[in-house]
Amino acid sequence: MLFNSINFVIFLPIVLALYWFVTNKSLKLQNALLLVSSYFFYACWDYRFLFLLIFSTLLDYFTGLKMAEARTPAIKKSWFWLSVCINLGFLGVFKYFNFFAASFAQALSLVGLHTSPWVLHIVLPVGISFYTFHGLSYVIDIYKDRIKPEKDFVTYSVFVSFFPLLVAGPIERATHLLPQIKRERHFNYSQAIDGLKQILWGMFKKVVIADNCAYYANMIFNNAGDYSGSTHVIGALFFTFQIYCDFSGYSDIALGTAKLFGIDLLRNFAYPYFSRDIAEFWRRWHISLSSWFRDYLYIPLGGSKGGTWMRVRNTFIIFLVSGFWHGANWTFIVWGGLNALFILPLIISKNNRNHLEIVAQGRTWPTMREAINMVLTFALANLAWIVFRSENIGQAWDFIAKIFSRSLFTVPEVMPVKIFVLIFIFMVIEWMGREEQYAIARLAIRRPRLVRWSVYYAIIFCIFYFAGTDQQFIYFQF
Amino acid sequence: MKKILKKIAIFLLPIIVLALVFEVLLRRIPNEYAYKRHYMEQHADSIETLFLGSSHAYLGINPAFISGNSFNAAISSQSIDYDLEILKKFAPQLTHLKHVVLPISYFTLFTNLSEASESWRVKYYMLYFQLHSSKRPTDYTEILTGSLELNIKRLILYYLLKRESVGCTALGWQIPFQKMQDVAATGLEGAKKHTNKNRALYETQKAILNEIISIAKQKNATVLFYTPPAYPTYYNHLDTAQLSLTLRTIDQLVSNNDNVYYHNFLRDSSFTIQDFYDGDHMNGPGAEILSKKIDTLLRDIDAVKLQQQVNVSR
Repeated sequence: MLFNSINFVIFLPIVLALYWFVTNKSLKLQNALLLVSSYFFYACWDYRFLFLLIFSTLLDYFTGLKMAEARTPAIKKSWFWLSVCINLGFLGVFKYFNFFAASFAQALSLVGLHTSPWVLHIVLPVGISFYTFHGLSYVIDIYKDRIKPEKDFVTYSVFVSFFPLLVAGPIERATHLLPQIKRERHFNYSQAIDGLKQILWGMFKKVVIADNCAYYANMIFNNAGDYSGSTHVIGALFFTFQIYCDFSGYSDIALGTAKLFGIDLLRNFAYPYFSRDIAEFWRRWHISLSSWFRDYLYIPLGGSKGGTWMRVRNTFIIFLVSGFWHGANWTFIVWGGLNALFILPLIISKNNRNHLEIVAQGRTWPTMREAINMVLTFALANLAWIVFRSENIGQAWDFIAKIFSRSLFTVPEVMPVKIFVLIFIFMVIEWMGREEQYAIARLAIRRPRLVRWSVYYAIIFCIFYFAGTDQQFIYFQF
Repeated sequence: MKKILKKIAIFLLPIIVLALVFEVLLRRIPNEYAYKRHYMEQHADSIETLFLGSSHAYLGINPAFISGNSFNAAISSQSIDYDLEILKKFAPQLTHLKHVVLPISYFTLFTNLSEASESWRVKYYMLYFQLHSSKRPTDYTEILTGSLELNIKRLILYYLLKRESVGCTALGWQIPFQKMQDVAATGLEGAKKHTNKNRALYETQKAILNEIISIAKQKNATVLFYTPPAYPTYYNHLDTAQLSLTLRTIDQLVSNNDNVYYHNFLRDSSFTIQDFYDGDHMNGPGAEILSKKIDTLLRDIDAVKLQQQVNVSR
């Protein structure tokens, strides 16, 4: 079930009505309802994979309890590794098996041994990377004695499977979400209105910007050889906006939907394209994943404590793993490596934490230097997205080579002015709202209702009027 | 809670009213689907030759050049599952049916409308052909299956500019387009677009053809399959495996059923560039030639059947 589908438009009000009118007297009933509706939501894709989700939930739930009961550190450690191995094992089989098999066969062919790799003809269970990381964070936190295990199975299951975040995040932490699930929730008018506005803005990003950009980005990337360098730039630009609006749009809808149930999820995006350097970009892009890798990989590896070499090594490790998390393709690994390279000068010169606040805070315009830094950072991100979007490294190379050819200085064959205007308006709104959690959070908030509602009507009109061709959310495949 | 529900209701009211008005106005715009259903309801009992199929038949067969009563029920992107549904729906009324004519194009056995990029057309079958087979609720509405931009254009064209909205003749043939396409270039594009690597639909489509044959058999009618003509840039760029599987399948159907006939026009050199609208569709003059050729085939089939009946009666 997609957030931007008619099925979800029917599903959500039904669940909300049951949640606030039927089960509102009992927390247990409310949580049970959330669990059943989350499983139904997931089963709408493929009910067979529901069993995998339930198994993963059961595994981490019991492992958590067993680790808490363990009499010796060795027993605790064995339960911990059992859970980690099974979780990563599932991820490995479903997501990476074919990649390793094909890469192994390719490596053999380099030394003259030709084999046909044995591949698994299986579908990638939607959301597996997200709920596996959910479960892992819970198990790691218990192992490190940061949290106590959750004894109530339904509460824990809702933490793993809460439908707004189930298939594409944000990747939640037990310390943040579990207390909210255990606490009685009362309807909060302001929170609900805030949620509705965030859903509206997420829909706009997805349907108007991402889907329209996707049409042209797909056209250019799928027929790259037929177009000039200037058109390649447009393709790369469109994909850059597509992936941002697709994923952050999804996150806004997820966060907004959760607010309607009285639950606050972790923020996933904070205007990454207004970043002044790549380090800031990575603090603002897919925040829940970046912070997951920081807390569960970078810091355990020694983080920034062990000198320059260790910082560089650890940075490369988390970027390569982060790339690999996105999928079983060398393009994702190279994309991760490229970002590590971009961030390297900042790490070495210890300038990676220069920009912690949003650009031009309290001001309307950025300084010239800030503007130049933003454009350069955007260009670097754009370059890396080309690799991310390409089918393979060869295509990425050809695509970039074409950009730096003479045909860069020709009139692009594809020039959808309408989409450029939409992107411009979108970026203006994002800039105006950059100090808020999402761009329209306080848009026209002090204006009379008529003005406010006119703004919302205008956004709804745009969603229906400029709706692009239906596209899956990109991050569902991860 | 009551406060927010009240506010949401007030906020949504104008949108819902506007949506309903749009839905009603859009449904009142006449279209080919409604016209064809209406024609079939009124005249099915007199139809002798029924043409089904996609744009290859919709643009390619002009019933004005076919002897006897005939009707072209083909429409752009109509896949054979919808051909079957139309045939099933009107089978009881098709009391004089002698021939069912269906194009077997290069893509016929590997695509269906519901999974194609033109799946938004499914709504027309649900709303105007009243087939009720889709499980997607949106397929039963106008406003939820097209962008607002497109729907506003449709309303302006019909209600304000008073443009004709039915694009076919009285006998169901697509009125030829004024603007011609680049035949060579579109042939190449068409071949690329129609080459389908996913063979998963093959068995289903084959079963559908068998069902069409079986319905025709029950009505004592023959089925004429034909592969429509195309420009060399189209047929020279087809995937050999996909094409030969299609041809083998049709050969099998012809040899297994005595009421099935087939003719391959794909590389028919009597069609020149002047006869094509684009790389794989006929224009007006091309449709005339193709329709006359089909008519000759149908008369030959009639003659064979007559001869068989004479032989049997002797």
